[in-house]
Amino acid sequence: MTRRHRLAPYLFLSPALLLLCVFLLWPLARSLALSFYLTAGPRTEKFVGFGNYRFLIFWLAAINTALFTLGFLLIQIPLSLALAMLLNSRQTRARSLLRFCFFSTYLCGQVFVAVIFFALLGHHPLNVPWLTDSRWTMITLLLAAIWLSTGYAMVFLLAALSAVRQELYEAAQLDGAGPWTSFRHVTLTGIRPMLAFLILVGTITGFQLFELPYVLFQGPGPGYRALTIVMYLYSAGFDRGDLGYASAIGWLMVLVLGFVAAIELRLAAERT
Amino acid sequence: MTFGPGKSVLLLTILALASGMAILLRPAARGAQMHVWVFDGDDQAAYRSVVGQFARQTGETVAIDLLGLRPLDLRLVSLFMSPGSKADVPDLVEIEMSSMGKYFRPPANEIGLLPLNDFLRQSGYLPQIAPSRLAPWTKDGEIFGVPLDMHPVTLTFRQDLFTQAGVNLDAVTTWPQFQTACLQYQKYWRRSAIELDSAQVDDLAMMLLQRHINLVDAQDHLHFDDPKVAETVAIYAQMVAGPNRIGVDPTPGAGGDCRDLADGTAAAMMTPDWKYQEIMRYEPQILHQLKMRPLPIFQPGDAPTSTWGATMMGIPRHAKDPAMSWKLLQFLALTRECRQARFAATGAISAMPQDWNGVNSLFARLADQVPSRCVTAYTSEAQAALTLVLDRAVTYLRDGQNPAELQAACADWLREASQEIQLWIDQGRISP
Repeated sequence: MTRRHRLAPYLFLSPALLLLCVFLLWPLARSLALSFYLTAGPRTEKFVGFGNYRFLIFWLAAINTALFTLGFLLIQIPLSLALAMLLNSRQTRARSLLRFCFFSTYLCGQVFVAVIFFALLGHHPLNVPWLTDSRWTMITLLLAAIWLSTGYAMVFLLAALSAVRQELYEAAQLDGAGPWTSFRHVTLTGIRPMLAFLILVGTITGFQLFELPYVLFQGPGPGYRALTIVMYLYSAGFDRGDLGYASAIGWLMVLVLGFVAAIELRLAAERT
Repeated sequence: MTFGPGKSVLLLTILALASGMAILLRPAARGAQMHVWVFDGDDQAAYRSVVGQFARQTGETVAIDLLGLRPLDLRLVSLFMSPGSKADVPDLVEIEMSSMGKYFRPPANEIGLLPLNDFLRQSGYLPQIAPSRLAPWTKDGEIFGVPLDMHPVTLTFRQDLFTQAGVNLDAVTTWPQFQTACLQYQKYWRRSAIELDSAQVDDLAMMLLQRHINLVDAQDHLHFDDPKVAETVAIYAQMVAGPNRIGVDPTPGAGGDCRDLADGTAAAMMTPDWKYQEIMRYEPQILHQLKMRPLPIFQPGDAPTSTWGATMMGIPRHAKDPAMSWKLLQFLALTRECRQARFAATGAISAMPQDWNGVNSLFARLADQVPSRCVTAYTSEAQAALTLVLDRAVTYLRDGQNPAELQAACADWLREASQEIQLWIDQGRISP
């Protein structure tokens, strides 16, 4: 093979590589470097090392986000599984209509749902200060998020449930398995890859939460209990004008999400 | 003749080419020569009503562009971060006080706005502006904006409801006395007496200003440790939570707080001039039932008013012709007829004391007592920290803990908050 032939693939790849470097790798490297700086205005930068990672409100946002993600997964997955099993049952009538009804909330999108819940909860229904008391903030947020996305997870689980072979249930029944044992060893085993996928997507959704609390509470919410990491990132970059701090928040989020996703995928792979 | 990829691809290609040509060949819109960015529709209407006169005087046409508060902020931040770009830089901008902190982060010579000291001095306008209103727009002695308003605050209340309950608010002078009077009102009506926010600190910040306290002063010194702050937070928290609660959170959404006043959900509210304008807009039918009075105080020496919000007009450092921008700024912000037009459209008391005598309202009478409010790069952090302290105080009371020990607890929380903000300030200190 001549030298020209050896170089040819790299020459063909070079335009794409160049674009990748200019529009992806360079901004990534730049934002990583920025995360160790304080920035003020167009020219002023000051190296602060890990100083950007130590502030209380940042950790408050991180805790809020983690709490939301945990609560979201703990409610959304069982609820959507229950709905999916209900709709998967042959005894349920009007399944197509119900499937559409449950899924339709997802079509609204976060901003619209936030507006609906703002109008719904603004007048303190049931005499509960949903939007103004910090003790209710996370509950309100979870309520809106669950309403929005349970139907979405349900559709995936419904597809997974319908793929579980009927013979497995019959075999389990012959072996004397009751409904709970069948559910544990046949249903859950059959849909485990889908559950892993939904947990991963739910985690990412939780960590990327922004529009819903931002519109619903018109800001970080009472006592900053609706302040999420992405909201804080936005606020640091555009409200405070400190791109270095915003970059630090972004990179920490990348690390946390990468770590959580790796663990979840590993666990799912082991069990499968 | 056939087209290989198919008829639909051919059709789409023709459509794309035709629309592309239409865009390229369309005649350029005849734009104005100067642009002013504003965030408030009433301001836009006021300026539009007078700006034709400026065009006749100078031959320069002016567009008043309404952007909204957040879009205006985003575009300005973006413009100031790329000073090389002169495209789209407006000739004048209106900025709200809550946005100003971020523009003050760089050293004074890198701030994206032009210092106006020389312009103001040479034109003779500087001594005509209320000094307390220059503070939010000043950094290291450089003035970056001309203040447009005072926004004094009064207490507006439903005279009919208080009279029916047998409560006379005229006799009240202090906030604790006001709380006692409101408890009497609540005993009669079984409804909350005043709109006070338990989750936001706008009302609390106004009370602190009455006591002449800026949590961060112009030199970035912190005042969280001032005993008056803990006392004020504790008094405020007991107004919005606990056994002696008199406050109710305003209904969220545009006009929600005015509706509360109209339907009796609450019978009083702290009202800056712009808020009174909102009552006139949303609930004009209750105006004859309303009465206004100065704010109660905490102790002698406190101001009987406060301030909520402020707007300035400034010139971007990279405006294409700063001298012409200043001419326009003088016209829109400082000439008598433009000030009158803005007052007519917004009801906001101007920042020039010579205007106050001509206005027959309590707002105008209180204007000279509006406390000075400053803004620095750390004002928003201080506000966030105060919000967290208030949340802790309110939760403390809602959990049924002893109100008598609240002030001491507040002092501890404020000390923690102060340490946190000091970290920000130390980290943000940039050597010249």
